[in-house]
Amino acid sequence: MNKVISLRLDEEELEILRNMEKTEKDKSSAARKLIKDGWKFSILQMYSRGKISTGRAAKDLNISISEFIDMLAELGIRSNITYEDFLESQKTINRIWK
Amino acid sequence: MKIVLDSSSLILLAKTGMLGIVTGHFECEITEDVKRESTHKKDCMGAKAIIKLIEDKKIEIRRINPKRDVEIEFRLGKGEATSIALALEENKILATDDKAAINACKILGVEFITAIDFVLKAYKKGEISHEEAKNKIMNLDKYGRYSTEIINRALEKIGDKNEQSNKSKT
Repeated sequence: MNKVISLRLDEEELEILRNMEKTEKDKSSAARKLIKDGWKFSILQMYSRGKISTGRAAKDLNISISEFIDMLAELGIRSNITYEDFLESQKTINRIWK
Repeated sequence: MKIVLDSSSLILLAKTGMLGIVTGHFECEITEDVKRESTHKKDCMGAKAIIKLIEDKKIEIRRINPKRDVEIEFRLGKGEATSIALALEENKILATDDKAAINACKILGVEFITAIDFVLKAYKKGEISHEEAKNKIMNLDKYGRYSTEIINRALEKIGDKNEQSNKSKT
């Protein structure tokens, strides 16, 4: 169920809403889209910086991990597993799979 | 040898068609949370392969309580937190392709491996052909989104020394 809230926005933010209105059906739809896109961007940014895990990011976006992996692939967001991590995991696999 | 897989590696191995080989070599365990995370959308690519291997008892499901402090401190999901808890408590190796989980492993002293390690080893052991290995590495480039440095090193290891992953540069 939708709820009505009041927000204080400055002129720059209102201008963004007015621009969004051109492609959305009204101001409310524009605001809802901006909030959702902003949330998604924020999660992707935290994931890219290694601040949250794949599982946490998928949960926060309310999608499956497989869908999140597909989203990262589609957006071209690289994993932040380092070359040093790779070297370390290579040593482990060489030890356990002879 | 028993290994624990979290959802990121489990899904990547399923997407690259490596899960059968891995379960053929290792006794694989996943937590209930990982099972839920990786199979609750059954139409997702790889989910059917995972369900089949669970039904065939090639993947064992373990019930374990997540370490709440690990989940919060490293900002992990439930699947990653329970997988780390299982690996830590039973001194097992964790397969993960998640950087936050890898960071937690390093701090907690849990050994880790990633999906690309299985591909390189399977190639070295002659279990997959050069073409298969290359295709799987390129799939991991797309879905695993490893760095250019890692992908190029992996291609070098299978003998594609001058191969460049153009996608990785973006």
